[in-house]
Amino acid sequence: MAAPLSSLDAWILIAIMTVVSFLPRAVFLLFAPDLALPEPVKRALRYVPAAVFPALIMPAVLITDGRIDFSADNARLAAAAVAALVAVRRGNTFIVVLAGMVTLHAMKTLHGA
Amino acid sequence: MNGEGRAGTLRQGAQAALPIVLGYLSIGFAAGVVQRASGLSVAEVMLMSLLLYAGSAQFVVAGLIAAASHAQLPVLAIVATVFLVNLRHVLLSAALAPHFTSVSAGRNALLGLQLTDETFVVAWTALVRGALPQRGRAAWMAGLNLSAYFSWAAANLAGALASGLVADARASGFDFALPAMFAALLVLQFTAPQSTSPEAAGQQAAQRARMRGMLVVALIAAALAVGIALLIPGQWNILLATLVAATLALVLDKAWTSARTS
Repeated sequence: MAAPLSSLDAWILIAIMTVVSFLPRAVFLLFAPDLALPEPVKRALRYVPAAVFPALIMPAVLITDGRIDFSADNARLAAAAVAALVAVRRGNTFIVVLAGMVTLHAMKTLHGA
Repeated sequence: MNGEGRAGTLRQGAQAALPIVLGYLSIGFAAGVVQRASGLSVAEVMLMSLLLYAGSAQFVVAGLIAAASHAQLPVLAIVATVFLVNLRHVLLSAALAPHFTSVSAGRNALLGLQLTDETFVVAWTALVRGALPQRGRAAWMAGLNLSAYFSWAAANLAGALASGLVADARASGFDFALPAMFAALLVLQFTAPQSTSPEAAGQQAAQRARMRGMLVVALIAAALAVGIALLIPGQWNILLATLVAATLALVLDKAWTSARTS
């Protein structure tokens, strides 16, 4: 557990990382109101949410140890399917998350993993 | 808006963050454990948590620091990776910006500081469902952001303090809370109540076409994100998949529109 970095190094590193993670987050919220984006860009941006959700979900659910796992043993896949089903039936996100986590733990317990 | 109204809106935003809080408490705990185990002190973990405030980036940084345990710390590589991992926020920030034009630049900067995948997703869903008030939008967003932020910090602290007691926090499956939430919100996007304006009836065909477009985009993005993750090492997949899918959507959108009107 020996730290490879001195305290000062770590703090400088954290400071730089802070700037680098702040800029992408704020740049448009800060400047876009005054910035007339071209119409095609605006239209494309409306599709960003539809694209970003599956891009976040599918790798997390499908990929195990660097390969696609489509088997019934993939507890995450099953849990995501249950979460999606519950989401269609009820709008409450909290219940959906809970259902997904319960499914995942049940599957893991069943498989003894 | 009077003070009570704003406090009420702030509270509504904080309540909307409930699923995020559930996810952050569990995955944030795992992040705290992993960061502490990489050799960072509790204070440094908390600095990362409060300043960097980016789940995947914090996991990646911990991994890079741990991997460099005896070598020179690859500062440039770490900074570049963090930048890359967080670059997708440009798209999220850009997507939200048109809905926050009435908010001052200073406030938008503060709101942007705490923008995450999860807060974006919840805020966007509220926008689509018309649950986000036009007035007090900044207060609502601040409530959402602050509950997410503090639950993340608290979970990081608990994880950092408990590190050593927990063998493998990630293997426990707690980190699944976030994919489950994304799945829920994705479904909500498609089941969002349609607008009830007088022209709504005439717009229904267009709405359906847009839904179909969104579905195609979602499928393309999913395939791309998985494919790129398998082919290209690093954290490129989410940014690239989103960028390509949204651009393709634009092309398809144009084709569909001209097909309808011609």
